[in-house]
Amino acid sequence: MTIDKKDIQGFLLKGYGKMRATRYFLLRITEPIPAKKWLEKLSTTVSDGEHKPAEKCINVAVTHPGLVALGMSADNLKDFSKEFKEGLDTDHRNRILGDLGTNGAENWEFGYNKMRANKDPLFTEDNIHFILMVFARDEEILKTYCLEIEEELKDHKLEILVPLDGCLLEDNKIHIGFRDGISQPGIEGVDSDKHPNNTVATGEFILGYKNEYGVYPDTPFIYDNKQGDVSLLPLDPGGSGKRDLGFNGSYLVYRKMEEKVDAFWGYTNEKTKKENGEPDINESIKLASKMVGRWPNGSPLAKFPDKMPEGMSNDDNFGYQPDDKEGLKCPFGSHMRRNNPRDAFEDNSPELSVKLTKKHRIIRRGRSYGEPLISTPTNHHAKNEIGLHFMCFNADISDQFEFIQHTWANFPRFENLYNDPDPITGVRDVAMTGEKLVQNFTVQAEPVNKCYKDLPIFVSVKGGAYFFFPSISAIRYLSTI
Amino acid sequence: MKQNALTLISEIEDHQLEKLRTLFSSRKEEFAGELGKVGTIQYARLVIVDKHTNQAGEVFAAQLVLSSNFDGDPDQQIQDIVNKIGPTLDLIYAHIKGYDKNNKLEFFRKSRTKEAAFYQGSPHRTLEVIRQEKALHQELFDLINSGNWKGKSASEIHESLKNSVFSKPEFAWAKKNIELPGINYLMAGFSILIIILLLPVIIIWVIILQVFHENKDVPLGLTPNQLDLKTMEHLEKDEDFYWQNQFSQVVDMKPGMMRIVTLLSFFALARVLVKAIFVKGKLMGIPTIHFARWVMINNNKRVLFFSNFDGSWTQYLGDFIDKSGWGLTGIFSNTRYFPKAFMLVTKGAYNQRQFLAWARYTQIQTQVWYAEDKGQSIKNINNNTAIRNAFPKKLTEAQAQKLLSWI
Repeated sequence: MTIDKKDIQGFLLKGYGKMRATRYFLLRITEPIPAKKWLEKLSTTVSDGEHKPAEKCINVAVTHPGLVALGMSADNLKDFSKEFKEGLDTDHRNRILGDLGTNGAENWEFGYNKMRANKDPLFTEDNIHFILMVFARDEEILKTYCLEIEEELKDHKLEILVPLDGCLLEDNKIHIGFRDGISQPGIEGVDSDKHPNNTVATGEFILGYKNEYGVYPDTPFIYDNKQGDVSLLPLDPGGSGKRDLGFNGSYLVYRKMEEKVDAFWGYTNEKTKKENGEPDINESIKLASKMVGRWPNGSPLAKFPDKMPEGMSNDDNFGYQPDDKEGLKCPFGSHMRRNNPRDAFEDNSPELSVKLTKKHRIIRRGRSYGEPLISTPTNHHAKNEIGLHFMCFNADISDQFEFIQHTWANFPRFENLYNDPDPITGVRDVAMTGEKLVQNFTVQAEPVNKCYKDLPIFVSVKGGAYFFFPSISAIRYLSTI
Repeated sequence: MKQNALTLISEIEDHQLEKLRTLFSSRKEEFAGELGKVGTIQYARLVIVDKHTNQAGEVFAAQLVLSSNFDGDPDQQIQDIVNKIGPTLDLIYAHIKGYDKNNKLEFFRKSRTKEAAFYQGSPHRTLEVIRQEKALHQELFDLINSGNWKGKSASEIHESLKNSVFSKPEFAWAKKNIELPGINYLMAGFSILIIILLLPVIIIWVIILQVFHENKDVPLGLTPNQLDLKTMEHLEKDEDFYWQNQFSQVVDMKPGMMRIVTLLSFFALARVLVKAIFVKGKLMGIPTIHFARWVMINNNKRVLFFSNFDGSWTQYLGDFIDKSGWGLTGIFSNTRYFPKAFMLVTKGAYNQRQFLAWARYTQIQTQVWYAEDKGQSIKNINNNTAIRNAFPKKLTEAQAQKLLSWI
């Protein structure tokens, strides 16, 4: 199988780690014709999977309302995934993702579907149509490049709804104080350097290839061949004879998440303070690490259960069987273990666990926003809101991103736990129907487990959207419709 | 005491169907509460199976299904329902053909339909036992979290917990173990032997089925993104309010005697397996199912499937593919629209995209849904029992440590 990296937008295949500064523009189409002209131009300037940007690059993704606004026919829209068509904010999706209460969509800065609440009949006024992702080596280059881009957006009648600035912090840590983005699945046919347990079928991330079930993921086929220049699109590799708009594309999930570092370290400091009331810095860091599953420098608890080793770690080569089957090193409820159970999912054999886990992986692409604070037990006061522009790629939003968030992060009965949501991303302030809200974090230990009670929300959702991340041929095609 | 299944099926008067639907949608919570009042019901639901015409043009009238999992004997359950929530039944069954409110017992006895197969995630545990064991877990959890166990061994902690718990008369019941069904190796071995003996016949049967039936059958052929969004919305609007969810489904049999014989044989096998092997809280390795039941309706022309599971629909269906795709294919490939199977038990459910779409396409709404505790997971229920049965015993240090790890 050969994968044409030149047809794939680069952000799907690489994290652009050298591009330290980013700006994401959420855009709205005001007139379709200039928007299509812009796409045509963009199809020659977006960074592809082979490109190694030295200074700057761009990628683009589109929402369902964006495709409608471009004039895509109902026939050609119909095969897009249900999740993408409905968008991030629906009643049911709010329930499964835990977007309720503080995290509720009505409190979001953007992405809230006002149409649904019937508050504003002119909902299209603030609908997100595109996200244009701009990356640069440093702030200076970004600034100059964005001036140029803003000019172009104006010329093509694209309204900037929100510009979202982001960056990579030192040592690739995030505000909460931990190194992030270490564990990424390798894509079969693209990444040859990853462990087989961590190399996942291409079709889990890129449309047009077989997934871990051995079938092609759902992809948007073209039914109305008269719309646009369909010869730009490849034929369905599954052999249906239809043109495949999804080929070499993916779905992109974006969620803006505030990191409440004050609450986080305040909680761990309080829970680990000495008998005389003084904070115990080491114990506080240890509890925080137990919640995360890695130490602040990235070292996995499964390998280093007692003490953080020196330096920074990118260690992704480990499992939980047989050495940590009991969760004594890395707790079952920790963020990292439950979002990627590796070789120890429920009581399955290591082989079956890996097989099951591979069906629910995502490629994460995070960028921090706000002042560049990397918090610690003694330094966790941010002047303004800080957080993470969380992004991930997956071919099947329902079976990957939503599955992980719902079944693994939010579900408090995960493994054999009783009342333990993911301490980082699963805590909520609205109980399920008919229940009292009980949210604990359990550290498996001998002779008895240690339970930390009353978890507050450390990460809250501020907005987001589901995007289709087209191949470069698909961008070109969209400019012709 | 045994838990049993009851399925009561009756015909809805044509002109009453919409009225009944409206009644359910406006008072579903109230009716669920009423089912709880019976006092012996663990899980129950009221489901409308709509009027339907099958491939052969046969018309089936709309039906109401009242199904429950309960403690005790089925006839007693019918009497309990009639005695305890009679007026509610009158209100609902006023829409039902042949219902006589002065002769309820006889009506319900007649409407009883036997299940073709029935699996339970926590056999031998009555409502009372489940409640007691939950309370015991909570008590032990609280004791452990309020005590100081520094320097104590697991055995010492266990002894200390025993002293505290057994000093309370409300936990006197916990001194005695509950008897649980074990795996019946003899029965399992015997059924395997029968299958081996019948193998030549089975193989020929399956080949005939493949050539003369499966090759010609037409699957639904859709993937989830091609389903009608409105249908999905209709189902999802009732889902994920609790950590437990429900699933109701009705499918048409494919035509021909061979299909019926195949399916009934599968159910016979399933009945043996749920009794002999799947008695430990897992159905084919799936640990999140509270119960599952299959019922043949309309003279073996259609199949009903009801189940309660923990967590998300996606995980539930995904688990089925990963862990029992062959079994599922063996059963449901005899029904219409199922993704194309090969030699009865391969392909089929393994075509993940088509399988998921088929499951949603054939799913029906559960009008009234009751469960004693929609927050408790089946794993928690079984873990509580494991704690209860280990707790009163004399344990070694390693056993005591194991017990403490469960709390």
